[in-house]
Amino acid sequence: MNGIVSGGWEFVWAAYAVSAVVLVGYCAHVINGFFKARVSAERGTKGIGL
Amino acid sequence: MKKRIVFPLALIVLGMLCLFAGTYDGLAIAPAEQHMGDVQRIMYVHVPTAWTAMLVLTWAFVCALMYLTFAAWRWDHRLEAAIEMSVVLCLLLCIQGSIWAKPTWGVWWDWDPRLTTMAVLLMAFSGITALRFFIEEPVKRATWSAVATIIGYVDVPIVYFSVKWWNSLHQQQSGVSTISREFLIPLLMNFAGMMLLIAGIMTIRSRTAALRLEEEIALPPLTLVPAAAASEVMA
Repeated sequence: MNGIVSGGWEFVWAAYAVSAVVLVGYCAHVINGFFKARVSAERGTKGIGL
Repeated sequence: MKKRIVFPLALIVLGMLCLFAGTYDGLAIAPAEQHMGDVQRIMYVHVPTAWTAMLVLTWAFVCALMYLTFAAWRWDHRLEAAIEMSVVLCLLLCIQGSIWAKPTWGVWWDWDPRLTTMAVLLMAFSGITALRFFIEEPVKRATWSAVATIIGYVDVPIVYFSVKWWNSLHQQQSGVSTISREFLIPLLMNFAGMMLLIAGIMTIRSRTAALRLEEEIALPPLTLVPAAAASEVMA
């Protein structure tokens, strides 16, 4: 024990991988949700004759 | 109204490019820190996430105040986007912090003031998201979630100052003047990338909220729709 942290690349990769998965996953979810909402809104307004 | 997302998509692409560049710099170019070694590289993603989370939470607070003051729907759409983004960022912060804590503190989690107040913040904003999900009446939903956001935001300065007010395992914030330039470049690049990415995502998310509300208001309950119109809606 000398107070210096050695190694630990597996933790670095884990932190970056989790961040990438969460951010890219949420980004894809939001974009997909937008297109679904747009299609649904267009269909809805057409359906009731607006 | 036809909504387009070309500009926010461009922000997302630009943000991702910045994040790639910052990550490459942080992992391959910046030197290992003297005491924490390579594990310190987690800071290049953890600190920008923390800065962005604090800004998004503050934006949620501003949107809540603006909605309660002006009662304009666009502030509620922005609030919805900011609340959801806050939950994602707070969750990400807790996970990154845990991964950082194991090799440096020897534990995955500790009920230290910073971590505890952060967990409270995550729970509070998850609760506000659930609140929005369960209230069907749009005005009530917007008002209640704006009030809840203002109450929840009280925890944000407590999270920030917790490392100064109490004896904490979590280190105190470093200033720009105390960080070496080699460490600062990947940190700022990732922060810029994160800001662009989050701005793009939140713009799209608030437009989705606007579309959903448009549809919610346009569509009366099916029981009140005349039979012919109802069959068209169902088709």
